[in-house]
Formats: sequence, C-alpha cells, structure tokens
Amino acid sequence: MELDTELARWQGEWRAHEVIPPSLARRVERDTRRMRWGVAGEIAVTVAMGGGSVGWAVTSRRPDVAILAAGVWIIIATAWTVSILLRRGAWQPSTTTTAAFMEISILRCERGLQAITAQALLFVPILGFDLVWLYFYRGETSVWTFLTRPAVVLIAWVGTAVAAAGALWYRRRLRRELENLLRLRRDLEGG
Amino acid sequence: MPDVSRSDRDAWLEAVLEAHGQALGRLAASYAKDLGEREDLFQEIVVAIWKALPRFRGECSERTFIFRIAHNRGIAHLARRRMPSAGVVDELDVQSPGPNPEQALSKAQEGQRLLEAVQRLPLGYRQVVTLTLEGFGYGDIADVLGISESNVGARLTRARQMLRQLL
Repeated sequence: MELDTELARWQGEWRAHEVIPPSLARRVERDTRRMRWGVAGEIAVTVAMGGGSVGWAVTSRRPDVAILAAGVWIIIATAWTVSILLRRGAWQPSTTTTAAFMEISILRCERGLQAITAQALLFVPILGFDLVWLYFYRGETSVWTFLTRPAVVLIAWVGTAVAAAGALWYRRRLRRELENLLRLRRDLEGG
Repeated sequence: MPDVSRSDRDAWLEAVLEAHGQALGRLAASYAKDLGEREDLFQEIVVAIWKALPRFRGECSERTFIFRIAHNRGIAHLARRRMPSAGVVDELDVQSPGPNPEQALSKAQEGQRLLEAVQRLPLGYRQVVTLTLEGFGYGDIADVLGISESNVGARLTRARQMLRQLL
C-alpha cells in the first residue's frame, strides 16, 4: 500500500503542472502547406523538365533535341525508380507504437543516407550528359573555352560545389540523427 | 475515419486538446528541458496528431492513439538534437539532499522536482513513468509503446527505484 500511496502522491504532483498551450493554428497551416508544396514541387520538376524537353523536341523536329528529350526522360525514370525503391517500406510504420516508430525512423535515416549517395552517383552522369549535349548543340570547338564560359562555371562548377556542400551538411545531420536513434533504441531496449 | 473534413479535424483536435492538452504538455516537458524547446515539441505533437487523424481506425482507444503519436514525436525530437538527453544511470546524484522538512516545498515546487527527476530517467523508463503518472494502466502503456505488460511492470519497478533515489 505504501507504494500505491507514493504513486498517488507523484501523480498529484505531476498533474499539478499547468501547461499553457501555444497558438497552434498558424503552425498547422504552415506545415500542411509545406507538405503540399513538397509533393507539388517534385511533380512540377518532372512535368517541366520532361514535358518541356519533349515539347521542344516535337516543335523543333531536330535530332539533337530529341536526344536531349530521351536523355531527360531516362534520367527522370532513373530518379523516380531510385526514389520509389528507397521509399519502399518506409512510408508508414506497421503500427503506431513507439517500438514500430523507432524502427521506421531508423530505416528512414538509413534510406536517406543511401539516397544522398544515389543522388551523388546520378548527378555525375546527368552533369556529364548535359555538358556534352550543350557542347555539341552550341557547336563549340574548344573544350576548355566551353568549360570556362561564365554560365558553365556558374551553373556547373559553382552549382556542383553548392550542391555538394548541401549534401554533405544534410548527410552529417542524418548521420547524427541515426546515431541518436540507435542510442535511443539501445536505451529503450535496455529499459 | 478515412474521409475527414478540415472542419471536423479542427473540431476533433480542439476536443483532444481540451481532454489531453495538459497531459500532452507534461509529456513534452519530459522530453525537453528548455521552455522554448518544450513549446516547439508541444506544437509538433499537436500538428502530428492533427495530421494523423485520417489514419485513426479505432483499433485502439483515442487516448492510446494520441499518446503513441506524442511519444513518437518526442523520440523524433530527441533524435534531431545535437546532444541526445543522457540516461540517468551514470548521472545519479545520490548525494543530493532530500527535502528539508523545515522548508516544506509547495506542490508546484515538488511537481517541478518530480519533472526534473523524470527528465533524468533513461528513455525506456521515462516513457513508462510519464504514462503511469497520467493514469495509464499496464495494458494501455503496453499498447502505446508496443512492449509486453510484464516489460511495463519491470520498467516501472526499476524507474520508481531510480525516482526515489533522485528525489
């Protein structure tokens, strides 16, 4: 009985904590909007790049533009395939219990890290294809001159450096999150 | 509840906050020490509950469903932190003085002390304790956390021992 009295006392003390709920409406709105924009963004990129390249190939009737459209669609198909494969089984936990959530969170982190590697591997052929296509499309005669044009330097080289820095930062964040999750799982299992 | 209108969801959330808002706030407090961080986590929990409503099929009680989501958000919050909250085992300050009988603490102060002690428990124990303090039974706690009832009992016994040392 002593233990039950102790528990009852702790419950009384615990529930004495008054919480003032903050304003939530704006946060709910913002998060919902962000989620919608995320999905819309992926579709918009596919439609703009894929649709735009096909549209250009059809209207121009040029073989080099048709090659570009084919290349763009191969890249889109590869990117979506990789994305679907990496998201497989990681959409929702089988149940909403903490244990299941922990497993799915770890899986998502691992998949996120794999996605960064996959994106880096995809980025190289994409950049290579774009540069080669542009080189021939513009009828360039010197590779060095082409590669040092301001637009190429800005988009290809500076853009690559920025993307790489962003990917490294995100990879570091995910790795830290994964380490934390693994530590928390050990904590839970040990409990 | 597969087709839930926006206004239904808002009304449901309002009812949930009315019934469990305080408990969810205390749960957030058990995961986040800093006040601002606590408020952020509380908001995250509420948003997650709001978003999860269409997935609620009634396989468990509404309270179980809500607290599962809340604990999951708490874990996600800990995972994102630079320094995850440390377990208590190697941090127990057994030398800390007990309450001075001549300076009886008010209930709120005792509550604060209890919260600080709960925050120092290892995650597995902390979850069981917070749910117990909110009045959940073994079966409900097992349902929320996805562990067996005997595991709940074992964790609670150990957690109470630790709490006694910390208080």
